[in-house]
Amino acid sequence: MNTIRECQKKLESGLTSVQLTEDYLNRIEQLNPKINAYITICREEALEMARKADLRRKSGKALTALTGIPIALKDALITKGIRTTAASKILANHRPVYNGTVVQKLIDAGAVILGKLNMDEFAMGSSNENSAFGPVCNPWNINCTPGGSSGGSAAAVSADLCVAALGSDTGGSIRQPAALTGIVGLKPTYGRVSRYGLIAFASSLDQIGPMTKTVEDAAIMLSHFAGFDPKDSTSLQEESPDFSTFLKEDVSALRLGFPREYFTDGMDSEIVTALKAARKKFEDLGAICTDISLPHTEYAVPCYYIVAPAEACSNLARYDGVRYGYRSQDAKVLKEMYDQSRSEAFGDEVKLRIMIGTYVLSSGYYDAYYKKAQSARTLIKQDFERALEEVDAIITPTSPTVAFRLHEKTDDPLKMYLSDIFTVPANLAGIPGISIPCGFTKSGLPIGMQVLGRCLDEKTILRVAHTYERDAKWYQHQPVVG
Amino acid sequence: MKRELTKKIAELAKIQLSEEALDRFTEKVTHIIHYVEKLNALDCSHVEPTAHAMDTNAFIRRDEVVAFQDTEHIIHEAPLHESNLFKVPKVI
Repeated sequence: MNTIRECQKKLESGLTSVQLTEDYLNRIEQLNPKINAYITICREEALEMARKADLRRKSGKALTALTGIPIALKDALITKGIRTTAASKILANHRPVYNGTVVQKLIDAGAVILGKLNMDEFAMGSSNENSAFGPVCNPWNINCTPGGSSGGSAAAVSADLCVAALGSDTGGSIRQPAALTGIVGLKPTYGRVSRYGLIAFASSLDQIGPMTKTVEDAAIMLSHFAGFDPKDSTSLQEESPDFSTFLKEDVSALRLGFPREYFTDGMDSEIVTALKAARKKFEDLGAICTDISLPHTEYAVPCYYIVAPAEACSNLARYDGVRYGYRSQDAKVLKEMYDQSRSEAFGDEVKLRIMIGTYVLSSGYYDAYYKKAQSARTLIKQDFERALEEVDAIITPTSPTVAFRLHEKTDDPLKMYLSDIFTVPANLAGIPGISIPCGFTKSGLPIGMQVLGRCLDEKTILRVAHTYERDAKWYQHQPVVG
Repeated sequence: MKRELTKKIAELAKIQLSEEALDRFTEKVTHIIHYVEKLNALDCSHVEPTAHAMDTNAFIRRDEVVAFQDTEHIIHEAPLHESNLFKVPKVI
């Protein structure tokens, strides 16, 4: 399997990064038409980066674990001179003039960027069906969605169209698609990773994170791009260690909590069975498993769907046709230009969330909705703080369902929003979370398990996830894209 | 939510909606707002609101001018420009 570690060994043994990159570019050319994971393929840029990586290796310069490794980026991450669209018509031809901090760090580490990955428009969605560039298909079943909003990133890693990818997570947009495509997806603690250069959706919730084939790869990636950034005022001034060093420890005597509220009536029985089996495995591995309660869980989705749209309507006000992006050609006066540009180029889901956000922030409604949601957020955060005094990590299903069929939920936004029911609480609380594979359904679709931890305690959730992964070995299963 | 309120919200949001879209969005927004009103069951009268998940102090820096070199590229990304100015239709 082409993990970062395996590819490193191949590069150390004589394979060049140019050869590895060409292999991936050929594979993308062959399979991307079936999956539609990529919006932009950066053939020339990738080969140039690969040549530089090979030269760096040959000349004896310092290498990193990512030098020469082909990765890909969710198209919400700004890349200098390379089209960055946020999967929206409004940025369809936008070429940024700078690299985001995380992108620059990966380039400096010598990674090779294969291209920009499909997503739900402005990260608003849970199925990658809201993209102006067409939906993404799940490599395990091309009639199913890969989840979203980082659906392209998830599908690309799952189908081995890149060694690893970056996604972003505002309400579960890394973890949920990771679960639905059978890969690993990590949302760091809020503030652990710089948001400078991430096209903003909801600024108090967004975080960039790795999407990989193994937990070790996620730890390696995170180590290369986490850390304080003076350009992001919400960036935490915390040490950023090499997270892969924490993978040596197992789960002996670790306390793991299973919240009652995440195992509700009506859940997919195969997911419940898989999580029960995982609990037994953790006990066999020496962990102490216990039931806990997060009593305000049922209020997380309504809270999120007030807070996130409110922040989004402010963040998306910049798309007005003035300085960049799409401008309507028919406008006679400035106000018409604003209204028409946005109306012609935003998709329906984006318009819906902007309108919800505008409503909950408007005069007469602000206290009843937005201020109330902010208080509910406090209660949700306190639930986790109390629980994580009793246990070291919390184990939950990542998603209430496995991958659903394309168009199954597109007519009912609320049905789609409830896909996030197990992931949004972590964003509201700011805590880190990782999704890892924990089984398959009878029909061959992946099931994901989520490990949540204390703020800035990525080392514990990585340790728990890695120990389980090495024992259960679900990563050995890979889709055959037909 | 009434149609007139949807229209007002769309105007505030700088989004134009056709008559058909106005009906469609009124229905969807109403449905979602009805769902999020689930929060009304919570007594938050003594709960401080959380704007940001992490307690953190703002990073302070000196208020010094730093030269920015890439003005030309930024201007060229604009749909219409004249020298280093963004050109737009008349205000009124």
